Amino acid sequence: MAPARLRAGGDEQGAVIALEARPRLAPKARLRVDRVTGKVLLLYPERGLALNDTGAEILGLCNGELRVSEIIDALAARHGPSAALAEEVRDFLQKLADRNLLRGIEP
Amino acid sequence: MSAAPRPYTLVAELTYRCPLRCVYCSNPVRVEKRSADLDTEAWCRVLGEAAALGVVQVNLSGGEPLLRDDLEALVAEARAREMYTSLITSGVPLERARLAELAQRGLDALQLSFQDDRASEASRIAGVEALERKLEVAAWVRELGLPLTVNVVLQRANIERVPEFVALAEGLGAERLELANTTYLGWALTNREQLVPSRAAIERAREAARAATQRLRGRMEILFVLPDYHTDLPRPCMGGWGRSILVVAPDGLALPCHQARTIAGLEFENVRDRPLAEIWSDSPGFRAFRGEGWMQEPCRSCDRRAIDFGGCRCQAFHLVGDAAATDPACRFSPKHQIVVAAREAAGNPPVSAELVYRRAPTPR
Repeated sequence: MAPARLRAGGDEQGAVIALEARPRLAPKARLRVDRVTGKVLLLYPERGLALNDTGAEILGLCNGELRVSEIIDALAARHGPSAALAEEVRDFLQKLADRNLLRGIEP
Repeated sequence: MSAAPRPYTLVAELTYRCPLRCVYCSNPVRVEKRSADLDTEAWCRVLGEAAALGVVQVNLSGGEPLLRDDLEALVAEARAREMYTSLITSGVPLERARLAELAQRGLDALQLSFQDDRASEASRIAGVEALERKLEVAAWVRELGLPLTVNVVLQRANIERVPEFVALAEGLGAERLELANTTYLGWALTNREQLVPSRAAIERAREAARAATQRLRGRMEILFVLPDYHTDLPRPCMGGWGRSILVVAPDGLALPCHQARTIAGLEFENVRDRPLAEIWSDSPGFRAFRGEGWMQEPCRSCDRRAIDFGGCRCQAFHLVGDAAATDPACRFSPKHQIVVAAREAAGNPPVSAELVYRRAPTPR
């Protein structure tokens, strides 16, 4: 199965990850570098996601200690703040949460 | 011929032997010739070659992979190559201590098959009693902290039980539930008459699956794919021939799908004779239906050819007699009537009352 790519755009559910959540990757998921493309792959049971650079950077910060708001701040410090950035981070994390790939996000 | 893409997934069929005799088994009914199963050393080499080729997911499958006593070594090898390693199993031969050992060696996930949530019906489909053991295995999987996929193959006698299967999977703490409509190849084609559900039953199943998907979002993933016999459109079989999935059969034959070896006239190569990378990119069997050059009309000029890749080559071969024909599941196939007739017969009392139970494939 070729890894899917996270698509931008609305989700039917419309849940939004809380800024106070301290996400970390679920134990079933693993990150690795793809030896063909050099991209970061997120692998989980019988599936995989090819992450873009931003996605890989976001997940690199999901250590279960940093809040979503702090992850956004950290990325803003690196790349410059923007409203789009905050939305992108929350959208990305919510899509992972919908796939049950995050922990530490329960309200 | 387009350049060879890279495979992401290796389906390692470790043996065709299995304690279950499921009437819908997708293993081939017959094979051209069969030599001995690959040994440990050969499988370890295949895993290494697959990893080098770009494979990141390994599904250890069969038959029943637990019947190999070197499974622990193969799991360790796959994990050492950074591949995400899943065991696709009936669960029947498993012991708790062995599962713990497999987990310790690096097994990432386990997919457990269920035929039904009712013991008698499960036994009728599997040909042996296995439900109780499966429930026990599922509990061990969760105790050991492994992610569990529950797989149920849907057919006429169980398709109305989607809500029960969802409850079963929830109760077992599964992370995924695969509601896999039967594909009519292998033993399932032999038993097709008794397995094809009615259109109305499929619709109800789809509705039940959709409701459960919404309710369980973020907790359990539910897969329900409409069966191609009822959609009038073919499925993008294996994501396209030789595009992203590589199957290695028990005897070492490298294949684009589990059933490909049943297509007469195709030449497949064995991992004993040639490096996997060369087989993947160059072997005649892999090149035969890669890309679009092989397509006939109506596929050749169809807007959907990059979506479904012309459908399933095995289905075209077994139903139409030409592996390069449009999949007869497709409404544009001149032979679509074959599939229409089969599904219209669904719900009628089966002509042959006897189910044919699977056995390991016999040489022709």
